[in-house]
Amino acid sequence: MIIVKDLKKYFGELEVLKKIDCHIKPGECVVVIGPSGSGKSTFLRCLNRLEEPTSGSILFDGQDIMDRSNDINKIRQKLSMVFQHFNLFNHLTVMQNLTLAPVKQKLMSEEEAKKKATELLVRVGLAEKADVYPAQLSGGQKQRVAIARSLAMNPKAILFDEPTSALDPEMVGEVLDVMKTLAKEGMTMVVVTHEMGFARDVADRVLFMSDGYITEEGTPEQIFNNPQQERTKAFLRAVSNK
Amino acid sequence: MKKSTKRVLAMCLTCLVLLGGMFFPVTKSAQATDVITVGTYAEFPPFEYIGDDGEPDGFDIAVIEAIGEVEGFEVEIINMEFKSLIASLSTGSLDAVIAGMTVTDERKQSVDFSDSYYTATQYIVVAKDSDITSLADLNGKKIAVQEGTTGDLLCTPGEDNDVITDENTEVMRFKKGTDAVVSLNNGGVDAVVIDKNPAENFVANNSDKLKLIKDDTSTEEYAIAVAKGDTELLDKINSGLAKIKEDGTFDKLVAEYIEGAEDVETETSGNVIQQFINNLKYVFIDTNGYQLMAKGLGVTIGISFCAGILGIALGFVLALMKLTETRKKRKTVWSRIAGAYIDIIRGTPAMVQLLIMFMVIFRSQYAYIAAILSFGINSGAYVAENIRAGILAVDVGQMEGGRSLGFTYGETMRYIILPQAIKNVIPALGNEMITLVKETSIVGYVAIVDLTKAGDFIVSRTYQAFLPLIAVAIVYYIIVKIMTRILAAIERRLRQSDNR
Repeated sequence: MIIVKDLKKYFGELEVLKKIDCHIKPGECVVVIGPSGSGKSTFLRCLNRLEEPTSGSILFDGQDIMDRSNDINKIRQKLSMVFQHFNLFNHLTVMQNLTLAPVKQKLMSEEEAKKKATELLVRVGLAEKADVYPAQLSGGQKQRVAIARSLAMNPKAILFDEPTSALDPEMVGEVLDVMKTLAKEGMTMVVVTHEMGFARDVADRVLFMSDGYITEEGTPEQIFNNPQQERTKAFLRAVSNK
Repeated sequence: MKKSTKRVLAMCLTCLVLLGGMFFPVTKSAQATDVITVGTYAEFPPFEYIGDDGEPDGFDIAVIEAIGEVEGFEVEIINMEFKSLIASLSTGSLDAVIAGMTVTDERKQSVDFSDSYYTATQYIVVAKDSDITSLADLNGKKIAVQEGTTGDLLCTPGEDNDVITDENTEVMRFKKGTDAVVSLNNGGVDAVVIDKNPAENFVANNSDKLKLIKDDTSTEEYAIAVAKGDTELLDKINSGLAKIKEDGTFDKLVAEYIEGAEDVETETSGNVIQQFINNLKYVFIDTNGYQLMAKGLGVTIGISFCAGILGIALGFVLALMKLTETRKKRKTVWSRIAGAYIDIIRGTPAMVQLLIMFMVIFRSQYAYIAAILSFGINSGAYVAENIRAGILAVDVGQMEGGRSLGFTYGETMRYIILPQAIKNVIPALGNEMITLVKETSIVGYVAIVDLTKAGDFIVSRTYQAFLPLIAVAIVYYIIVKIMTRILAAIERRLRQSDNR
């Protein structure tokens, strides 16, 4: 589904991603972990070109997203993203947040989009919030709306950029539950997170990033129970001591 | 080096855009259509003043129209600052000037004068109880004059002035003779030196407070001025003048305008309230002040509205141009142009911009269009920064949210950023529009009679400053109050989504 080859990203002189290669298969839930500053979020944001990669190639569904002749906006319709700070459209109701993109981009009629949005809101447990504005929701509710919004596009894959980092601890669970269900249903997901429990329970594969490289990868058992690299061991010690 | 060259280029481009108006077709060819444009400064009664209908009227206007009639040309009167009249002749935006203008050697170097049509004497106006009896007595006193007139020359100490020799003589130069008289009434000066006829007029209107002193030190000739070398028009005017003098028209006009200048007596009454009401009636009703003010109000609202729309449209485009810099993370041609525009417009006074627009670019024609353009362009610079700040105040996450859903930059702007930015912009934008309404009060300088100028006219017609100016201030205040109310209502509606 997503094939990354030799991805590099500089911020000015600073080399954030040094050489990233990976292959994310359809239906796979890949969790990216690693110390802060290791380039996890930058890597994720390169995948839908929200951050412009400096070099390398990224294939999504057979299309080279680095190729200027491919319409990046069309690609993003099928490769949604969920943000740390939700990025809900504050001037629109929950329902309008879900229907704006499908309707304006003529992917669905107004009725279809509303029907789909209602279904999705039921799925994330927020059916009764359809007509309120984001300002009236709690953080956990906002993030569930944001997930529903990304699903409203009928995406082939969803990128999660630290989806629970901005939440109060008691709200983390409700968001992770929604993500867990999604993974079980076979959605292709790339998740950058600090929730080790989620990585352990839900991930098909875990990528460990440090200093701009993917330094170790494997199943959750391999990474959490039998890490090979010193860096990985040190990181896991640090988070478990928390 | 290269960078600075680019910046200079951008600035030049902006200037070009600004000066684009220069190439407006100037639709004036006097001889072809037999319409001659005649400049005057309608603040010199009884020779010229603003009549009850808001148009220039007076002895001079009647004379030039009579000449036009016998010589077979139409006259279009343009009212402008006295100081601009001669310059406008030279640039060709006026064909002739009739403005109680005295023939002097200095002026003769710039223009040609017709035969004199009136001989005037400078008179001194003083308070009834003053001990001043001659021009020489004015040495060391405070004197009010009309700026640029013979009275000004006569009273200003200098090498070629052998009457007023005391360097401590203080000369206060007013734009209008009436302002000089108001200043005398208020006790701000000791005397006013002004032409005979307006002086007689003023004293007749204020006979309870003022008296006239005749000093024949200086007599002078009024004549019509034309551009240097325009002998064709000069001959026509001279022959016309001779004709109307011969057939008695001229004497009739003298009788009508100058000798018959009627006195408007204010009713006096012991009762303070009665007096106030009489005054109110005199200022606003008897002299048609309310009509002038209503007209002026219309002009103020019209100019403000059009300029406001233009300013918002311009500001919006400029803001988007400048935002290309934020998007590309480097300066672009667009952002440089917009930046230079904003820099220049914010760095120069609105007043100067208005004068440049009207006198330089529009050649003293199409005053309304010039004013609207000038204020619109000025306002655009401020609006641009307001809108830009409003857009930047929207969280970057909103742009990312939109882009991640497959919207283009433009679509995200339109559906997501701008609707939220408006909320941020409205208070500042409202502020700018309120400033704009009040700033239009300088259009009087390009001879547009707006609310402020109307109040000004009422002052010069009634010799009263308090009532007309307070009335004008109140009307402005009411406009601003209404605007504030409307803005508050808009803001309330836009804040709907913020309610928790």
